[in-house]
Amino acid sequence: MTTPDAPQEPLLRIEALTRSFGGFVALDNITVDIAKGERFGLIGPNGSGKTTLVNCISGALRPNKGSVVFAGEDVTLLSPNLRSHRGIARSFQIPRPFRSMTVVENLMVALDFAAHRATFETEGHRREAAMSILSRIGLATRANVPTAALTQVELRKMELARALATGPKLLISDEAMAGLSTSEVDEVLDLLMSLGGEDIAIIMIEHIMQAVMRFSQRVMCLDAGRIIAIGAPSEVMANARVQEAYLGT
Amino acid sequence: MQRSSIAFWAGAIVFLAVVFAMTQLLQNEYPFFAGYVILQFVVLSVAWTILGGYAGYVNFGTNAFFGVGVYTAVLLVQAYKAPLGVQIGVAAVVGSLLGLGVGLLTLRMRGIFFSIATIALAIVIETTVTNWRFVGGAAGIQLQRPPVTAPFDSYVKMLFFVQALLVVLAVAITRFIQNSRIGRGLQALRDDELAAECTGVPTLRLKLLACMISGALISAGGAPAAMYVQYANPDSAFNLNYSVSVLAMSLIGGTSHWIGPVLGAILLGTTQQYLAVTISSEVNVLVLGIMLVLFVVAAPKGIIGLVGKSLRSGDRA
Repeated sequence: MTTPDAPQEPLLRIEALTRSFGGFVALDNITVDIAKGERFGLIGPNGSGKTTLVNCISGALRPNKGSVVFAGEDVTLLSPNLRSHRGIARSFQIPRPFRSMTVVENLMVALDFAAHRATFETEGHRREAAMSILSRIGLATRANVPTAALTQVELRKMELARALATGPKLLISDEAMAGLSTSEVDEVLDLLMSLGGEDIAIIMIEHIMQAVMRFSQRVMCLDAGRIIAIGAPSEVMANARVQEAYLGT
Repeated sequence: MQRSSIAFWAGAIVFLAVVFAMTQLLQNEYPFFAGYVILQFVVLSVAWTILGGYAGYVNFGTNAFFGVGVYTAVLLVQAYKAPLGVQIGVAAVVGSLLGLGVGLLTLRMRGIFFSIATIALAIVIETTVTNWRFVGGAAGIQLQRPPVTAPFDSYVKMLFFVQALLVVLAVAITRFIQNSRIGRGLQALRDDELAAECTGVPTLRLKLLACMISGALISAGGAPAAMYVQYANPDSAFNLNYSVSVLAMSLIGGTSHWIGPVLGAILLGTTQQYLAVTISSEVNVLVLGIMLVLFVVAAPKGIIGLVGKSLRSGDRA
């Protein structure tokens, strides 16, 4: 197994991260760096610890041991909203929209409380910014629709748009493509690819292998809370342990 | 938004002018006696909505905050003969501290657990006051009203005007919250607390702020009640009826806009006052219950949900 070095100074450094729930060790001594603007794929069978890792990075969970260093600052003990201000954004495996609001209002929440809020002088400016993100994502026509009326793919996109509105340096996409059709997967994938070009590092958790292969510069495979392979997508896919654990052969 | 602000303040000034004119023109004291109670419920319902409506934390301990307001006033009168303004001001401070305490103690409690904790709080405080001799203990305490000052010719009329001022204050603060990013943050945390936090909303700070402001206004609204009845006892000051009435008024009016609890409190408060005179004060509670059931079934978003979408939460007014 080869581990190519992250190309630049790491944006995110996870050091010896361990998290257990009772006697069950969900993450066992995970160490990994993610570079600025890197497209990073995270795979592994169900229950391997992917979402726990995301929760530890975004602040929804605190690790038992180890640390999370973001842009040179130890954020291990920071609350999710402070991490959001520093540039960590995420979408959720099961979409969690603000249900009493319209699509554009969901984004306004992010802009109202973002660290870069001062760059928008008025509510009108923030609304413009929200609309420009929505038109990028392809949701502009749905801006004033209540989130309850959105389709599954629109909900996923809305979550990505809301995450983008926080002004992230790192975006964690937790199975944003689950349950989508092939053409919809391509749509979301193109969107995520285009963000990488803007120096936003992306951690993509995904079960759809073609998507992971096409998207990722590096792939990491977890199994039972441990890293069993990390490297270029083709290498990881060829790894016997990955095939055994993940592909079930 | 500016135009709606002008309309709002013009409305507030007209309201206060009408209230003041009433105190100068009407001789009969009864309208003020009844009206005071309605205005008091407007303050309580609007204040309750900040936490219970916007933030979605259903506070069942309105009676705790109300009673704390009443007994802060009692204590200040007993110890220092403090004037009404001081009673209300200090009650607001004590209410906000109590709100902060509730917020900190119930950090991880959501939904029904938060509501139960607030009921427990009311019981704890009531028990404490019941065993506190200086403020009258279980038997209660008689209070002497100081002489009324011009331009009012009776104390009840003055209290009516003071409560009207509190209505304007409570509505103005609630309206400000609704139209600011605080309101949007509270709405986000009501919908989904984790998603709100991951979107950058400082949920803890907003929740504590909502607890403090809501608590301060409820206690301030309760403080004049001591002088209104010239008597206070723990049983009536901490009566659970306050919690139930305020909850019903807010829900019946609708909690997504400040006008909801105002309408709910006027509608139910007036009905209660009318029934208390024509039938009996016991029927109040029955009517409250029936109306609440009707609204929950037929209009879960309250009066403002029926009136239309122009007042929907997203719109700024």
